Amino acid sequence: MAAGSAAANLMLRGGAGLVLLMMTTSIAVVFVGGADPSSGNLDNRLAAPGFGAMLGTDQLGRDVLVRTLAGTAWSLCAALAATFLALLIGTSLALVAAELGGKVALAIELAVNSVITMPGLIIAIIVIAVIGQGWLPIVVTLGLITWPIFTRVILAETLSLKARDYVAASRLVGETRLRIVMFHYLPALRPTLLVMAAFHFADMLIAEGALSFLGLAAPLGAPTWGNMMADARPYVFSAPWMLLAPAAAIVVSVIAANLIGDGLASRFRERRT
Amino acid sequence: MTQTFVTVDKLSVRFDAAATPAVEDVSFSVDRGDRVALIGESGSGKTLTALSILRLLPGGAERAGDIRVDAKRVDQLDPAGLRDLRGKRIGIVFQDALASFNPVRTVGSILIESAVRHSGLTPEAARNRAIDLLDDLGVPSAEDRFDAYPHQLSGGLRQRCMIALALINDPDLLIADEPTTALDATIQAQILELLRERSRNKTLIFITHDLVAAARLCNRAILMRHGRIVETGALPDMLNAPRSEYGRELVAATPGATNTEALLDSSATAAEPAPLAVERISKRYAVGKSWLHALRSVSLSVVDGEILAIVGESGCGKSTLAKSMVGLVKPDRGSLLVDGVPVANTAADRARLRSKIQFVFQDPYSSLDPHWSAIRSVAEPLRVSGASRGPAGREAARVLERVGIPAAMHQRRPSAFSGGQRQRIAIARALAAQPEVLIADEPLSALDRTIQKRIVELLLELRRQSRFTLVMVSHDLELVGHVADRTAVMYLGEIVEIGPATQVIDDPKHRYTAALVAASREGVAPRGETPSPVGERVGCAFAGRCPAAIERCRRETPSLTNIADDRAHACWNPL
Repeated sequence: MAAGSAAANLMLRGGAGLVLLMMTTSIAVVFVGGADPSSGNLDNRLAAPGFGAMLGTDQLGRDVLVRTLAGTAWSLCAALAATFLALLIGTSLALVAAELGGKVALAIELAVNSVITMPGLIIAIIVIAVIGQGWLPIVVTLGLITWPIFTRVILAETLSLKARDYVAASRLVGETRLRIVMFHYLPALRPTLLVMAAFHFADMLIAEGALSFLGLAAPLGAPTWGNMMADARPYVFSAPWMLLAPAAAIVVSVIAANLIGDGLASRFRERRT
Repeated sequence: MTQTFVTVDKLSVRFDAAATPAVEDVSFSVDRGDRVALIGESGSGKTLTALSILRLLPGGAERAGDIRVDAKRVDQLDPAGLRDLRGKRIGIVFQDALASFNPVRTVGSILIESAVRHSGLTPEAARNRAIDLLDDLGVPSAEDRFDAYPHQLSGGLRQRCMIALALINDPDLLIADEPTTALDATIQAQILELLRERSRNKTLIFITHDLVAAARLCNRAILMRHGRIVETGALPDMLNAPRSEYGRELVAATPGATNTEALLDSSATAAEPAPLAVERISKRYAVGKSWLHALRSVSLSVVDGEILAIVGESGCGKSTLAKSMVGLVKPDRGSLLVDGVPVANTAADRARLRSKIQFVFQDPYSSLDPHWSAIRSVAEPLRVSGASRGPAGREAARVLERVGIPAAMHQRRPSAFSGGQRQRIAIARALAAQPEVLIADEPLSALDRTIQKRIVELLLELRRQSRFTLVMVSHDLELVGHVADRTAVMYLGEIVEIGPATQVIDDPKHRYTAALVAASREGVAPRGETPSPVGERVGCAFAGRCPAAIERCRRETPSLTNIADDRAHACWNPL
């Protein structure tokens, strides 16, 4: 359908464009332009948006726009890496469970249920208490908490693929399990994986923001959206720009990720019919 | 025109002057075209006798006596003459091919060397001759095997290569020294058959301890024991009236040897076990607390080279039967046999099964990966068996052309093809694996009538080109009945009638078959409903619908009973 496909394309382009725009400005201003998110002018604290600092300054006189842009790189990359990790763990376990079945599958299902039952926040607190704050710990924590959703969905879909005649036909000609997984299952799973990854990415952005807000992700003072919102808490009414800028960044990037996910989903749906 | 070819006169072989000789006072002659069996237990001196002809006795053996080939004394040959004798005029097949091949040389290089040296061919011509010969001897994809080392080949293949080496210079005399002893029973039969065929216009000396094998290959036998000849005579007469004590022992030790006919017959059938058979297989599925019996102790042998149709209404278990024949369904009881050997659930046995049997699925819409191009699907079995991308692609393209998919369409995905075309691609994939038996599970039911007919014609045409055994499963008696050699009719998990297709259709014995025929000819549906396959039952499954059911039908279950060699039915009150 032409109309549907046009809408899907628009969503895909819009989403991808937004993400790209955020990344490039972030890189241009902070990494190429050399704007320092940590340097503040204590004489110019809590300044309202204006010519000096377009989005105002925070309680230490640091430029909110520069900090928001610096946070973009941190947050998007952390969410992306966490998504990839969850996808990798979840999908591999799902494929192993589907293909081997039996006790292995039972063990993997047990692991899925155990992880889903455990409260993510508590795991996050424990992990960070043990290995400390930082970019990598947050990625690992998020990946380890959220992979079961991939296992659930991919396992169900792989089991239905496993029952297809063409998979049986491949086995009859002597194809190995590994090759069946690589060349028959994965290509068929690609649409699901891409769509899931896009939505998961949005979830990870929010989760990373929340953990940072609680002081569990980024080191104190690091320019991340969560940290900035935590900093802004006492000044919500006196300097609302401190909260609004990082919040807007999170909302925009989550919308962008959802646009990508929706766009991919409707595009694959059309191709299927 | 008979002409003495080999004469052995008063041959004695001893290893130690003091010990008793290993061969003593052995004399016989072999005419051109003669087929002589040297029969004896191990240590009887039969191999030493044969080796003497080639002057191949092991070191330390002392030989006395006179051996002539074409009237020339073998012990007086010069080195050139001896080479000519061994390499060109006499071919020998040893017992253990692994020990007889140089392990660091490829099979092909050994064959080429022999042909170049003894037949004076150029290396290219020698290569071509060797590949042709291997091909002829039933070595699959001979060209690929050519560069294999002996240890990379199976025992049966190695022995075929050994025979190729013996035959490459087209010798006048073939000596086969227990060529099958190291092989398993089914391969033995194949190798014997091969030797019989290939030695037809040659002189043959066949060394064996197996009277039955000797009777199949030879017309004359020399019995040896303790280094001496104890009896000579014509085959198979010797089987009926052995004169020597050893001869009588040997015949007595051979089961069923008292009747020559039976012996030769049984050897003929033993020689070619069914390429594919199931024995008393049962399969049931749990339905709530009860069982659905998909197969009830079904036995069926596929005859090599035939077209076998398995016919029945949907739900009769024919698909389950077909799928258990390729291992897609694991039966609860009973066994699957390939070449007479049961298939166990091991990787090796599964590989053996799939190298022989391929399967075409019912639904061409689900049997091809929607993400794969047609040519990739067809190349899959070739890639699995080790072909690299290029050759596999070319071969796949060739097979696709054969099934009528033009080259321009090879790169397309299944969605670009019609149902009939997809079924052609599925058939091509199965054929690319070069199966001996192709099982087609209702390959037609998803297709419309005219396409059905074309697919049947395609299968027949392909079968004419590359001989394979075809098992067709269908609910349409009329459609497959006329192309099949044999038809098995199934009803509720059992075979109720089996026999030559035309007889089954024109003169059905079981009333269910008759009802099926009537249904397909006149559109008269069999009366009554098919009873549920769930749960236990007593008596004939068809009794409730049968117009001629008698009391017994409701009490006792009839089993498949032969009414002729090739016909059987399961009915208490047959037509």
